[in-house]
Amino acid sequence: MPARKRPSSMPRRAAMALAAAAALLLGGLTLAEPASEFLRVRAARLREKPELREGESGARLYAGQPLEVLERKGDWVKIRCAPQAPVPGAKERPEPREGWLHATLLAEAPPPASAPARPWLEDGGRAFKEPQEHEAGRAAPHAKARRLDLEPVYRLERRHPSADDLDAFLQAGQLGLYRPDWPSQEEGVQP
Amino acid sequence: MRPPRRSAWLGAAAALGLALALGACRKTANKVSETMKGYAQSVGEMSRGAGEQLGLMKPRVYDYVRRAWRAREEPAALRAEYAFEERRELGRALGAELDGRLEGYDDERLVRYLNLVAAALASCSDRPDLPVCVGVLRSEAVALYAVPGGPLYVTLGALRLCHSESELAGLLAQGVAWQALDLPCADLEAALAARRPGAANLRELDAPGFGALIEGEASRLIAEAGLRADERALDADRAATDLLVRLGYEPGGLKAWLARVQVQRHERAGSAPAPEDNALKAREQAIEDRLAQLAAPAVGRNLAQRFRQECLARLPAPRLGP
Repeated sequence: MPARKRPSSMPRRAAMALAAAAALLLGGLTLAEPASEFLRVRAARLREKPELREGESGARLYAGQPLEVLERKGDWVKIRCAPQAPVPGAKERPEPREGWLHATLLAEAPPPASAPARPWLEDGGRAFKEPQEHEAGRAAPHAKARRLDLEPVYRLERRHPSADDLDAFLQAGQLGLYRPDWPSQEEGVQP
Repeated sequence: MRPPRRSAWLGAAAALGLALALGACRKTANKVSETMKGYAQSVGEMSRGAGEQLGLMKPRVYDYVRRAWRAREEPAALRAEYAFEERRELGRALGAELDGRLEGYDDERLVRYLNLVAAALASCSDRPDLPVCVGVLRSEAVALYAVPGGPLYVTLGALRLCHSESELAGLLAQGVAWQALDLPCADLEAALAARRPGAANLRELDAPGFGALIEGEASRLIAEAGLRADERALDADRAATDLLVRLGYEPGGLKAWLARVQVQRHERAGSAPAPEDNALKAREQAIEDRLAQLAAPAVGRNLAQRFRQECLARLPAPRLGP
């Protein structure tokens, strides 16, 4: 009985080579730097769907947090927030999450990097939870020489509302993200 | 027969090279793509604008919000020469002067409400990092003062002229815009330059010079009562109108408040127009121009009832006399 001719392995190997090439190509593209944007408002909630009235996941993002852009759909942007160190004072740990944000909430550059601004942003607007009374600063000697009281000024600096209070205030007044006519490209509320 | 393995390895190596080259070029490709996208968007915007002008397309309801956001895409740069703590010390000294001369009014609920409105405005401003806070001064003059570092001081007289939360927001939005545009610090620098030509900066002032500058600036602020109409103030008014649109308040809130100030001044001055009226007219015109540019709708939330409960009801009876 004649031996059966073994089929050439050439097509198989060529297919493997092509598959490897495709995998490498995909890998090369994936390794390229993803587009990043930053939240331009102090805090915002992530949405499961690109629409206003539904799909709010409850995950809160904070200004300055780098966000990886995954997809754009009209005025909405699907993002993934990168893992980072826990925000001081924040209730939620900023774990990597995916969801939708309105494009107007994003900026290409982070907020101005003045030294004290960042913790103020990340902590819902209170970088200076307990503003220090600087005896060595210029205000105290001036107030002493003029017999002025600095206490009302220090008290005023502590008057900034918490992020939760501000959120409740906006919701009650239907302002900001809670306004009924907040824009949406696909399924926005009609006038 | 030539082993096929070699050609397979060659193919894989070529593919690897191609993949790496493509990966490395991705950044450049992104830039090219963004540029092309920018051109396409510009052409699209122009076509849409022409379509709307000709009545072929209905303007989309959210366009005014997008325009408000895009009008100031670049955040106002923080001046690098002063650290935040330096600004805060300047603001503290000036705030103590104002508080000492005009006497603070400390109603817990009222101040909390004012700070909520200001924080909402600041959070959607171009400088959401600014720790804006609001204090009330027991003065019947109509004035809003901004000092370096974020604090705003509003007088009882200015609050009494507001009729709704949108007008109050317009008033406070001016202050937030002043802070975002860094006007308080720029004013102090201008005052320093006027007093000491050639002086390097505020930091190098000695204690007597610092005291004299702060006292002089407090006097100027009180005399001027925030009713200025120079180009920087008009810029701030335009930015304040943007803030109202972004947040969803009635966009004409600031304009309505300014008109009421003008009426009050006319009434007090009798037939002779007050000299500040020209400044008010210029500011009203700037706001009107901004509203026209924004194509903003005439309606928004005015929240008059909440304002009456949280603000008007908390104001003390006006004091008679000057």
